[in-house]
Amino acid sequence: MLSLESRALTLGYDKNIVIKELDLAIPTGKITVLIGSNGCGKSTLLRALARLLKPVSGQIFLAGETISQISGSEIAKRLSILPQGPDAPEEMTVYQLVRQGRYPHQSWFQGWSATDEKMVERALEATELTDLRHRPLQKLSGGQKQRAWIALTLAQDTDIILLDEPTTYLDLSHQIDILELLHEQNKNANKTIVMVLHDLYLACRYADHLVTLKDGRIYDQGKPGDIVTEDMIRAVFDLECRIIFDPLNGTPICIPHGRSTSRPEEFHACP
Amino acid sequence: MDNVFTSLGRHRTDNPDRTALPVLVLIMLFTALIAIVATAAGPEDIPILTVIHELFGANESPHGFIIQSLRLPRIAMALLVGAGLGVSGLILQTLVRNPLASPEIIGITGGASVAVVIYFGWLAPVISVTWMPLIASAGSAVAAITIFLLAWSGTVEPARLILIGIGISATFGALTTLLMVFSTEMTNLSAYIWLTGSVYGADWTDVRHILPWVLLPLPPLIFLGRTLNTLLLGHDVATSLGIPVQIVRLIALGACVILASAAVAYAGAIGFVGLLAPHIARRLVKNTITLQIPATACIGGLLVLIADTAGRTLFGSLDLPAGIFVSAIGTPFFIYLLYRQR
Repeated sequence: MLSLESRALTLGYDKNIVIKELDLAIPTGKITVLIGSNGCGKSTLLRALARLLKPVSGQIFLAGETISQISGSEIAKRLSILPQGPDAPEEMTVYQLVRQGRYPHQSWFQGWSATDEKMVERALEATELTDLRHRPLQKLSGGQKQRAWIALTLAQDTDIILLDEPTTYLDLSHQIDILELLHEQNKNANKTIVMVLHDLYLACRYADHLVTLKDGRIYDQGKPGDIVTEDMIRAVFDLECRIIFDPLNGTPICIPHGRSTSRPEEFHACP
Repeated sequence: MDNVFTSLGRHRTDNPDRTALPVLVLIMLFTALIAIVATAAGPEDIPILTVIHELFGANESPHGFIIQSLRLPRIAMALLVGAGLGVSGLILQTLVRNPLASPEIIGITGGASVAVVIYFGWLAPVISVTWMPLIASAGSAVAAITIFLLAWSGTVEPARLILIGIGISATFGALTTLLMVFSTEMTNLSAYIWLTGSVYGADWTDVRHILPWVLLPLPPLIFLGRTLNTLLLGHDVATSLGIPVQIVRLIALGACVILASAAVAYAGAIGFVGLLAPHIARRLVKNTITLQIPATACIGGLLVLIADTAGRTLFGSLDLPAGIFVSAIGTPFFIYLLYRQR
């Protein structure tokens, strides 16, 4: 299985440094979730790991090799990224979109192969889109559309999949739907998954490994149950809260205190 | 024409890719047919059979001269010019992922216009008119390079390129008008006909000169077709799939500049073909740029050919510039397309 890690990675746009000298090793075969407040650099970090952004300094290693020295098409066979809010021509059908995932595996001389077709079928099946394959993207619901994009990355057939906020704009049931799908891919197909999530509850529930970022550095990392504490939330999100544990899954849940909406006295008044 | 074609294009099957090739073949046959009809049409009507006979090299009928020296080069020029503008528009629209992009917008036409107005106003007495295509191309190149340099910020961001292109085009438009105000009426007339766009008086030498500029960029573009298709998914996804996005963009943009500036250099500022032809082609041939490139070339060629044939046959002895008809037929058709798309 392929390893992905960064060493002394500094990232930024122009003179504006977002990530400072960051060392991070992504656990292989696990789901890693990056969290942190807005602007902490989590998306920037994810983009850099997927070579969408050139580092200011430092390096990224994919299976021990410096990523800048591997050709784009070789990386594309090992690592894929689904950016936030991807966009395709409206009239493109699900099948046509998912097919594009085979791009790195094809060459001009060697056209569409049986393996290509098999991988596309498998991706459609995993995302439950087999019946919707010929539907144009514009006629899909938000959840179906996101599943189609995930099918594209599955068809790409890489060991490592990065996703930037894959559940944005989806309602709760579709968020769970997407995360369950990724979880299955992790467990059954042994994919290493790294994603940025906004929702702390979902992050704790689906992450094997949670990485919290603050001011361009790693604040803490580990199992959600070990690192999610009231102190950590205060430090990373600047939020007062209480941590309880999910009665179904045992994962931590953060109950924020509000400035004006907390009603501890009413709560305590209840029997 | 649109009825036959759109009904074919809209024919629903499970896999739209399957109809693309037959539709392309039909488009090509239709183009050949119209070219033959256009050769026959004119002040002197020539029987179609004679035309076909002549096309296969007979050169013995009394119409030989008209066909070989007057009509055929003009028709070939119309097809090449339309193909250049159309494909340039298709690739630009693909690169910026916006259906409103066209060669006019990236300043190619504007740059050439300024150069030609300068030529007619000041250089015509000194430099022979045979050099005019080169002067127009130089104008296009200056405009394109200016826009590239201004848009360059470590990478070529297509949206930025378009915005700067619109600004530069407007500047060149103003400059063209300003220069015309300062030149004489006679030069203005020649400049004005050029600005409308016409393939009037094209001969085989012109055709030989423009031919490589239109034909050579096509194979690399077709070769890049699959990659350009994937580029439609955006910079990030394309990079994730292993495409060297910047390099592909530069090659494709370079091809656009060559195609459009060659067309503009020989036929003037024919508007709208670069916008319209790709739209029609995309409706007929779905989702595969590899096939959309030849389809757009045919349809762009057809638009200019039909406009030019109408211009030279409908008004007796008057030979109207093709540019007028491209706009006159193109505008309502374009509005119709947009209306139907709702």
